[in-house]
Amino acid sequence: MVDMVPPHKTIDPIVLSAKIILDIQTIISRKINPIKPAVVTVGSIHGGTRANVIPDEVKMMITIRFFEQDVYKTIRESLINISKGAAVSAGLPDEKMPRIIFDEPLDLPVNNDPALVMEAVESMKDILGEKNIIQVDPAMVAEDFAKYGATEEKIPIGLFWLGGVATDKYKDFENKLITLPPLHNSAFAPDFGPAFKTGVTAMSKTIIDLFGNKK
Amino acid sequence: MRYLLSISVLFICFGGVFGQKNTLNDRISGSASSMEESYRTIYIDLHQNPELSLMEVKTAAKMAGQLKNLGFEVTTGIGGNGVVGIFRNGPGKTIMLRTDMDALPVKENTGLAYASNIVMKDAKGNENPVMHACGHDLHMTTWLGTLSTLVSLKKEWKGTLIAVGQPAEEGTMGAQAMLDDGLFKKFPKPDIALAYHVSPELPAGTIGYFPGPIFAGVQTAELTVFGYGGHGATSQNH
Ligand SMILES: [Zn+2]
Repeated sequence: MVDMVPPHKTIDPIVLSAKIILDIQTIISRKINPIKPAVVTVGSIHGGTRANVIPDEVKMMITIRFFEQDVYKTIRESLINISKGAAVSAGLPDEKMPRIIFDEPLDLPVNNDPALVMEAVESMKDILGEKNIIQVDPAMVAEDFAKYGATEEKIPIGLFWLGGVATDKYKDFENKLITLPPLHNSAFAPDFGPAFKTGVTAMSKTIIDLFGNKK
Repeated sequence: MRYLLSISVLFICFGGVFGQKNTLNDRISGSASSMEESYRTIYIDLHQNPELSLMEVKTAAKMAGQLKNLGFEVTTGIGGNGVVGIFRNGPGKTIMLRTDMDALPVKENTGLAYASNIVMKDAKGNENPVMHACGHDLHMTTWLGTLSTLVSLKKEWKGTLIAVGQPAEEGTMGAQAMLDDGLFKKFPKPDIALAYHVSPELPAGTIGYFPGPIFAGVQTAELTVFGYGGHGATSQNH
């Protein structure tokens, strides 16, 4: 009967999970080059049903975000090693090693082709002015446009942000009077007119130039 | 006299070069401005009639209809509700421009006069309010406006334009489904693929770029940690 096992004979998966979660925090801080952004988040943890019963298992959901393949590989291997290492040092037998299932296929980073992007930027600046074409930091969101650049055809891809915030709202935001609703928010409302005109102008110009008809 | 002549020659040369360049830029900008009001109608219609991922049937039909009006050869049903339009304009590169078409199970709270009131059954049969909360309605409208501009300025370029209307971007299934259905095999293979995503942080009137990986790779993992269970209070109860 499992409920008769005294605590010193149990191996508590909750304590083990706590140790694993703390160790996971060192993946980003100690295993990844600090100039390479990445995130590992334990977003959910479930185990046990009562205050005084040690459960048989704990389940966690973990999200990994990254921009480079080698960073991803390090995170993936570290997750496997950390959880297995903790289980081994707790004295668990082989058949009780932690099980980690990675959701496949993963969402690939949108790997913009640098030369293509800079060619497009030149066209966009030519038609919209230097100050309106802004270099941004990469964002920790996923977009499956990535897939078109990840086939065996190795097609250069370019994804651009189209500014959507109304000018007056943007001023209020800069003056810290409001926050801006993010994507997927029920209050998200881009400013159609200027966004549309800017988007059409910049992309039409870019495509005509890329077709090689620069004049 | 000679000096003056050189200056006037220079002036004519540069004037000619700049004149020509400005003409194309002016025509592009002019086309975008003149379209704004008619495309606002398209935008509002898309905004008011959002459809969930894998259910973009009416949206896809609208995109197919617009592409046909612009003179594209149109194929529907690629990778589900995907739409592919081809505009052949002489020898040259093949450039693909992609929009996504799906919306989200979100109850709109923008207060806009044209806010969505749509409710749709999801795959499990549950009723959901639906909203273009990721701006794919703006992507579609800008995509159509760009294609229309390129068609009207077709004397300015040569090549093949591929318009891709992609379903199911949310949940990141649609691009793979279109590729699996032969997007690069059944149709001319693009030399370049381009797209926008609307930014909730940059002001309208600007474009944001990054020459490298701009959006992250994401993966979820499920970790199960086993132990030897037991009654945590047993020793105290002895
Ligand atoms: Zn989106």
